[in-house]
Amino acid sequence: MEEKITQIHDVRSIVDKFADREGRRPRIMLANFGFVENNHDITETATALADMGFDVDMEPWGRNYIDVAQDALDNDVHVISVNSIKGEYKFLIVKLLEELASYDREDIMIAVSGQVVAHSVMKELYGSGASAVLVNKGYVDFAKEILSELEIILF
Amino acid sequence: MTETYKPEWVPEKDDDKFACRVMYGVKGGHEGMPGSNVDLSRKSAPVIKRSKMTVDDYVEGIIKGDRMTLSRAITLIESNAAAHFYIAQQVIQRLLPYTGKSTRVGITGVPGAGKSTFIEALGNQLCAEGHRVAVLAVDPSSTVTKGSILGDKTRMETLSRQKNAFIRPSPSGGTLGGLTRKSRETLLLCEAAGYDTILVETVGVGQSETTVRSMVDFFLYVVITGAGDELQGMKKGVMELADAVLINKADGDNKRRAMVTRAEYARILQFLRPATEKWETRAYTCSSVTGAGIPELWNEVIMKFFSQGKENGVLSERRKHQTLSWVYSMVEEHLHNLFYRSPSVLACKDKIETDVVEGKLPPTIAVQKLIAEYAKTEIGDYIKDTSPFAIK
Repeated sequence: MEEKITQIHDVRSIVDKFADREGRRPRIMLANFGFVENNHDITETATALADMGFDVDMEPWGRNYIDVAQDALDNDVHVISVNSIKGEYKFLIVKLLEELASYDREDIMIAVSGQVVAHSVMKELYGSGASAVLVNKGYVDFAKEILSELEIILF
Repeated sequence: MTETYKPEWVPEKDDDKFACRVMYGVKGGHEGMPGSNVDLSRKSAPVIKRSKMTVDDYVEGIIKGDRMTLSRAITLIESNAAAHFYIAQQVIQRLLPYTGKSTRVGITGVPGAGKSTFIEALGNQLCAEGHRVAVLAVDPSSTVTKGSILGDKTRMETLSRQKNAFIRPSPSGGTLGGLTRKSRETLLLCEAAGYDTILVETVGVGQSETTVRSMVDFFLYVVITGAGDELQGMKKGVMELADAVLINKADGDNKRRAMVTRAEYARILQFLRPATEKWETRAYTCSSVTGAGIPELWNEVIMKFFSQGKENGVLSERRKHQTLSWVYSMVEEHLHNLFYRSPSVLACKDKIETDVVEGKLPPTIAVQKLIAEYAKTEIGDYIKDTSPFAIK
């Protein structure tokens, strides 16, 4: 328990340093695909990330990837994180990246915060272009992964 | 064929007499199995860095009405980094001639009053009439973790799909200082980008209502139906800022109660000073779900407010006052930053803090010491280095 608390303090200080350099907190958009409207996983992820100092945009359920990409551009987020109880992540990652490329904004990262990810599929997710995957890590490690990738893109 | 090996108890020379073989176990990496043999090396595609935009890029993009430039410009304004501040102020300076032409409406109310639903209904109606609507929502951030959850688009689903609507939620960043400047400048950017109606929504945390009041022309206070006792507890200070009080959720069974509440508010409003000269603040009902009452509110109340205000000059007077108060709020913010970022203050701060906490130094003397340290700095040089407005 003690260790968990120090981990959280660690990641908060990493986020604070990021915020000092970038001028704003890291901003992540949690998109809810799939057919479940009240997805508790997403609420949990949102709270965990906000507790670590992220600004979390929550997308309404049932948007398609075109609308989600447009919303991400309007809000100028750093990361879009996909969550779908159906698990069609490879499709979503590829399509979102295509949309972002058409606006010339491939600097926005894609992450996967869904819990329904088969272990053997993780490599393919990274291969299709995901920058961070939540499953099999904790939220703390997920946040650290996102932040280290952001360092490369922004600085 | 899966690989096999001989067990260790088989003697070397009698190997062919023993038929027992052991199969290798399953390595990890399957469902439910511990351990991972997944290669997590990075993506195949090269990393694309975020492009840097110049002042000209921002200005040209916004004048053309390009949504993406607007979005990135708002990020620039909201940034706390010193380098971004300099560029942001140049962008604003060059865009000032293009601003001032929109209808600015501020909307506040307690959480649960239905502001977002109302904004969605109003926004959809305005888009149908051909307006371009921008919605700026300020969501409070935690003062402890400084993170925030921005959920406005979940509550304005249909509006966020409209091509002519731009919704931008902003975190307040844990402190309310600097909120005035940033929200106001965001509003100016949206105006320059061609949005003719700007709706500013705030939850009503801290001083955010007075902040929003100082940015908008018309201020709307959204409430829900309530009994007489609840009305006594409402924020009278906010009521005095409002140009209209809107009782939401006047549909179905609630309609009668909404009428009663409206009468109560009308009674109370008679005793309060109106927020705008020559304008009477009244109470109205509407239903954001059925849309009843919203066209009337817009056309008969808000548009009348604007035409009247333009005729008798009240609107332009108010905007002049608002610009001046913007100047002074920026002065305060600047002084605040000058003090807290001054190197000599930072150097002595910790020692003074420990002394105060241990009781060795009275707080009032600590204040004098801190200010003396600050005044000792060569203020002239410090301003030259950090302020973009100073003459170099």
